Order: sequence, then C-alpha cells, then structure tokens
Amino acid sequence: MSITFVLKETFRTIKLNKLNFFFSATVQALCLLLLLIFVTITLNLTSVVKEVHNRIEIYAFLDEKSSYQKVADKVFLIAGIKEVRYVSQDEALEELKDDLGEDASLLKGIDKNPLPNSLRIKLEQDFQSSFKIREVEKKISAIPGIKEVWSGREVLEKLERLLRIAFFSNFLLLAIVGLAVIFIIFQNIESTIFHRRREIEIMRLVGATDYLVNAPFYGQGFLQGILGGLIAFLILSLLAYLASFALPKFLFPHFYLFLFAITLGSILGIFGSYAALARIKERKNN
Amino acid sequence: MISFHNVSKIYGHSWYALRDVNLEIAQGEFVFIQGPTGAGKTTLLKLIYREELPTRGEVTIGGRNLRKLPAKEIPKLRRHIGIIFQDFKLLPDRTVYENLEFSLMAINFPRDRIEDKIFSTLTKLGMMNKIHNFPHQLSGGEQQKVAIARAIAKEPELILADEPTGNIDHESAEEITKIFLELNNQGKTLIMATHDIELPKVLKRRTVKLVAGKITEDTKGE
Repeated sequence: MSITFVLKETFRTIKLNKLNFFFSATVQALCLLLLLIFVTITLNLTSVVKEVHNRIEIYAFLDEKSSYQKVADKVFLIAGIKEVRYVSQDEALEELKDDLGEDASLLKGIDKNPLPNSLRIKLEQDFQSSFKIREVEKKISAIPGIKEVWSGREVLEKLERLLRIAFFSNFLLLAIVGLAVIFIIFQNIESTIFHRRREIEIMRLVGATDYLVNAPFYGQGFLQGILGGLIAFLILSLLAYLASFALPKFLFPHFYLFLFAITLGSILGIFGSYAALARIKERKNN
Repeated sequence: MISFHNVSKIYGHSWYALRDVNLEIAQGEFVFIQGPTGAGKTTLLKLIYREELPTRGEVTIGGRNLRKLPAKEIPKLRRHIGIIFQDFKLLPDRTVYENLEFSLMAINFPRDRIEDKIFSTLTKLGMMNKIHNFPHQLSGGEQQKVAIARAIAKEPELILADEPTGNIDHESAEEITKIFLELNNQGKTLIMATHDIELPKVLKRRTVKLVAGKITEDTKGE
C-alpha cells in the first residue's frame, strides 16, 4: 500500500471538508471531555479511598481489669494484623485534648478520666478493605477482655460504595460517549464518502485494492479522533489547573490522561470510519 | 482471450439485459459492440471488467472464469484493463497531470516512473500543452483524450470503451478513433461499444450487433 498516496488523499479530503472536519472534532471533543472529567474525578476518589485505607486503625477498647499484653498477644494471632499499639487512659486523654485544641478547656469540668485503655490496631494492606476490616473486627470483638471495637469502617464503606458507583458510571459513560463519538465520525465519514464518490469509482475501475480505497477514510477518522482527543485534553488541563487552586491535593496525571484521550479518540475514529464504510458496502450489496 | 458462453444477465425478475450470448474475442482484436440504447452493450462490458456477474453462463478472460474470481482478485484483473466512458469520469478539481497521477498511484504504479509515464502518454496524445489544465478548461474531445491517457498509462492489454465518442464533436471523434486504431496496431485488444452504425462500417472492423440483449450479427472486419 502506498503510504504517500494514502496520506496525500487523507489530507486532501480533510482540506476539502475542513469546516466539517473541525466542527465534528469539536463536538467529539466535548463528548470525550465529559468522560475525561469523570475519569479524573474517579482517579481522585480512588486516591482518597487509598489514603483512608492506609490510615485506618481499629480501636479495641479494653475492660478495666484485663491485661493489655495478653489481649494484644491474642490480637496478633489474627490474620492481617500488622501492628498493635497500647494506648493508656491517660494517653487517650492527651490525644483528645490535642484533637480538641482550643476547646480542650471543656474537659476541665470532668473529674475522672472517662476514656478506657485501648489497643490501636493497624492492618496489612490486603486487609484494608471495609469487608476485610469487618471480618477482623468480629474476630477482635470475640477476644475476652475487649469491651468494644470501633474503626470508622462505616465511612470507608460509604466511600467504597461511591467509588464503585464512579467506576460503573465511567464504564457507562464510556459506552455512551463511545457510541456518540462513533456516530459523529460515522456521519462525517459518510458525508466525505459521498463527496469523494467519483474518486472511489475511478479507483475501483483502475484496479485499486479495497484497502487503498478505504485507507484515506480510516486516516480521516483516525486524525479526527486524535484531534478530538487533543482538544478534550487541553480543556481538561485548563479545568484541572483551576481545580488545583481549590484542591491542593488534586490528582492530574497529565501523561496518562493525554495518552488515554488520544488513544480513545483515535480508536473511536477508526471505528466510526469502519461503520461508515461497512454501511456503504451493505447499501451497495443491496 | 475473452469468451462468453451462453451468457444471460437478468436485472430484477425478468428484464434481460443480455440473452444467451456466445462470443469469442481473440487477443489483439478490435471489436465494435454495436446496438441501440438499451441493447446491453454496457452490460457486456461490465461483465468483462467484473462489475457484474452473469445470471447464467460463464465469462472467461485468459482462461479464468470470472465467476470464480475472488473479490480480492478483481483489482488485479482491472489493472490489465483500461476503461473509457462516454462521460470521461475525470476528477473536476484536479489538473490533467493530477488526474493521471491519481489513477497511477491508486494502483501502486512505481513512484519513480509516474512522471515519465504521464509525460510520455500525454505527448503521444498531443496533450502536453494541457497538462496543468483542469477538466473544465478542456473541450469534450480533449477530456476524452485525458480519459484515454488515464486508461493507457497503466499499460493494459485490453481496452474497453463505452460510447467514447458519444459526447464529443465529429472532428474530435475521428481523432479519438484514430488513437484507438493506433493502440490496436500496437497490439492492444480493443472493445468499443457504440450506437453509431456508420463507424464500424468505415473502419471495417469486426462488429458484434446487439439487439435487446441478443447477438443478431457478428461480422468479421477486413
């Protein structure tokens, strides 16, 4: 296949329909942008959940009479336990005072320290999901000498549920945006095929292969997809830049998102071209 | 070289474009397919360049049955056939040079030979002075010469011309006919469809007469 010929014809076609080409690429970019925004939000949410996973600790409050060492030894036997730290009543009170900061004066009216001795338990990475935490919590609660167990797992469960919804939305959006972009490119390529019908006819008559006849249309779909992806990425970068002022920890992996936008755009572009060419072929056969 | 064996082509349910056609055309022959509009001339040519398949019967070229020719082999077949139409089928937004370059590049003609080939073909046809003209800047006869140049530049063994003089003035038609004779003298097989009754008589070449899809006469030339 002559690459020079394909490139020449691809650019010639684009030049002839440049307005149509750029308009379609822009509409396609807006569709891709919607998806990219969702992907970026999901990435940030994933990062937050990961951070929470890393920080999570199980608080095991001890009976007044129990020996923390004996209880801690039993806790250590449970699978997934990474670290167990004893926090006495006094230490807990100091922590509380630190947490309250200026409001610590509220504690002055209390005569007796109401806080129990406790164990702070950290988990191995594989045991940091809310489901696994629940399992570990059950096992810890069953150990004699432990009065109550708390981990803040409910918040984590909500975050994990939110993340699952975000992932599902991404796939749903990918399907919707994918179809929309394929349709946009399909329309554009179909119109180009109509404009180039004489070229196609001549190519077929002189003996050009189907590959060569079709290649400029794939080329156009591919370039339109890349352009759409590029525009979407540029707008997203701008939005991410603005978001970083409000959210200092805002995650925006430039390179991977750029690659994602360009790759997705070009693949959808090729699919759009394929669909248009297949439809023309089907019509011709009927 | 070309053989039609009991060929019928039916469009729709019962419209016979060709009916039981038997025809042999040898290499190097110049054959007129003569008949009125709707006689089946274009269909006969389409069967040769495998644009259509016969409803019944077989068409063979060089011993190859076109019915059994896989779709991906059709371009290879067509590279050996130069096709010329009444309406020229030139690309209006490209110059004469670009029209020829387009068709040569489309068949992967060696890139380094394209320019020479275009120059030599146009020189032969006396069209070098129009090389940078667009089709709308050419007369009908000149446009047909460009179409001929496009057909012969790829060096085909067989040339099919469908009413090539139908859209041009008498003088240009004579010139085009002379070009065809010259090509035939160079050894090319030429099949020309025409509704003109006089032209085959004047040129004294083999004439196959088609009426309502049937061959009614097959007269040898001199």
